[in-house]
Amino acid sequence: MINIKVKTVLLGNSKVGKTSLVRRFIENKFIDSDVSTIGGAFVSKEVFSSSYGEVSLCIWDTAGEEKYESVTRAFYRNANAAIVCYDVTCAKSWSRAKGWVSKLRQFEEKCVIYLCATKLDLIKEMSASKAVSEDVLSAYISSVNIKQHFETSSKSGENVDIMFKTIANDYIQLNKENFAEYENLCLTSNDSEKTCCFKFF
Amino acid sequence: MNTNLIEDNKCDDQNMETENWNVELSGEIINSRQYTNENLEGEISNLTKTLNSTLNFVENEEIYWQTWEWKSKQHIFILSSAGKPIYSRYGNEDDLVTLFGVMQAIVSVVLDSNDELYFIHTSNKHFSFLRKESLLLVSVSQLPSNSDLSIMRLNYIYNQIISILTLTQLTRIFQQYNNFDLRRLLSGSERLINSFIDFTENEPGFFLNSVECLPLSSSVRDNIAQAIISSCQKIRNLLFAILLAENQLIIIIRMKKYFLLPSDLHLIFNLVSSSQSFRTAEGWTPICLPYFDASGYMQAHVSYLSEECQACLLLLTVDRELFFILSEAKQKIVEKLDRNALLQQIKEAMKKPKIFASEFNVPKLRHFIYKNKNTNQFVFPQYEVPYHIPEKQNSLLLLYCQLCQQLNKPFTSLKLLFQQLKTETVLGWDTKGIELYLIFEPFVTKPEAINAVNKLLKYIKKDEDKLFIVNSPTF
Repeated sequence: MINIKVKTVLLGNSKVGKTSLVRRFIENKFIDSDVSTIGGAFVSKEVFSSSYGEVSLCIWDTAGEEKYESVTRAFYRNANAAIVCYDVTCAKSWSRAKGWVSKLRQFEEKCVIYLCATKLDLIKEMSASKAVSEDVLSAYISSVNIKQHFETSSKSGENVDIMFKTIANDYIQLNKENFAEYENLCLTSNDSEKTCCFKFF
Repeated sequence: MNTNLIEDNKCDDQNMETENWNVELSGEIINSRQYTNENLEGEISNLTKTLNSTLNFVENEEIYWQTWEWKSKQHIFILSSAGKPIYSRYGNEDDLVTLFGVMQAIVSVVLDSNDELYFIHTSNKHFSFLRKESLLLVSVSQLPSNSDLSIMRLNYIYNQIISILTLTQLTRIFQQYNNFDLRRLLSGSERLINSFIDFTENEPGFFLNSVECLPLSSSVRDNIAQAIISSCQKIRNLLFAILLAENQLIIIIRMKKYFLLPSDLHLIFNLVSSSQSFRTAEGWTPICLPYFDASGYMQAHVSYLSEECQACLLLLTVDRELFFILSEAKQKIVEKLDRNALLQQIKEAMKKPKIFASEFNVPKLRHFIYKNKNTNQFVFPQYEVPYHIPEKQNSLLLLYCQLCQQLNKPFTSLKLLFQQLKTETVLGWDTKGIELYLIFEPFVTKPEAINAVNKLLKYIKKDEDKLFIVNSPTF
């Protein structure tokens, strides 16, 4: 069985909770810390096995700080999927997220982009208000070709697993032909070998 | 207090005349060397008063000031040459703008007369200044602190900033925008600066300019090195492989012709110890090592060997595209270490407590430091009674630090120092390839102390290849 790796990159302003999101997905834990990621961190996790092979997400968790912006380019190069995160209560992180989306659109046309609102628990528990209204959001999503928008909470775990699984699944669906072709190719080459043999003997 | 020198080849106790300012003030200037005009003297005196009163004002007015561990710790400020606040160890920089302003003023007044300000001592505060091309670093302490050490500390902090930004970037930014707010670029990295300041206060490696090693038998260490080398052999542009057990070095493998100095290694230690995230994910981190090359970043692949074996492996390269190759190499290294039961050996060595001075059965010996000068490595035993409480540990470190500086003072050739102090007697010995510092009970005699030295040296010599990294393997 082949192992299908989906290169995924997490982008977004510092302090929006990219690392927390990854740790919730990988370890199913919530760590409330304000330690910033330096450079980038790499993790991978097998999500499910499909009929095409085992699918694992290889996730680049990047640093959100401005000084690492030049380095971050290396992380999203050739990414299959990008999760652009913003803090659901923070307008500044939203405008930064839009910046990331346009950058991705400019440099990585093939990359599938997902928008991810983080810290949803703040809205539910602390009754904070959303920084972006539904209308603005849906207008933006349809204008720039965002695959899907998720509202997540790493604290409660809400929608985190679903998001990563959707990404893996979307990748399979989108690239189905490639995998299928690959399998067929193996079969036909075997067949031709057989016919060869028959001809000789 | 009775000071006794066994062997004193000290040539001249007089401080070498420095060309620079050394202002001593207690309310007003009592001694200033080589100042050129009287107006300047007055101006500095006034500014110092302002500085002191600004500090006092903030100290009294602000609530946060009361939480500041002012009494025993140094306060550190970093500002840009234009006087913009960048960092304050305690309190919020924005509330201290006036203070930063005065600091900048006092330095530039001296600078205007083609001179350089290093220290100001007032009756209750001691200021040290370090001026770099684009930054000004200031430390303030209430206790009479060791001036050389303060400057050394400021240099370390400066190096930490270079390590985050590179000298090239720092210089370029301030050339382009004189008024740039550097906090924008340092945000998220304050913890590195904080923990590095703590490092300079708590770790003997700082003033000894050396590193501590994890005790391992030399054959185990060689095998670890071999496992790493054989897994990385074909990787181009791999400069260093470093294996750390917390703040102790297990092994360092280097590319031929390249070396790392202890102060650069300290920056690496700091990066690892202040980032927990490497425990869960492989890090791919840009880091600049100022002594190696301040102009650009290296990329570091940082990861822990395994859940059970919490040693941290760093692979340093100049190639930004090497992540997956290094990640693969790391897997191979772990497999090899595991296959040869080396992971287990490392794990066990990490679990073992550090050596105790009392283990050596040397009468009246309380504690010691043994430094190998050739390899810049040292042995520092576990703290024991009476150094089991933090305050005592601090004063012990301070004592070591003074000893170390007395022996290493430039322009002197002091080799051996025996000093009876109020609560302990100390002996410092600088000899071929070794620096030795011993702390005894107060009433030890000189012959007893010399005996102790011999006995200790014999023990350490016997275990030398275990306590220190003797080889310096290359790829």
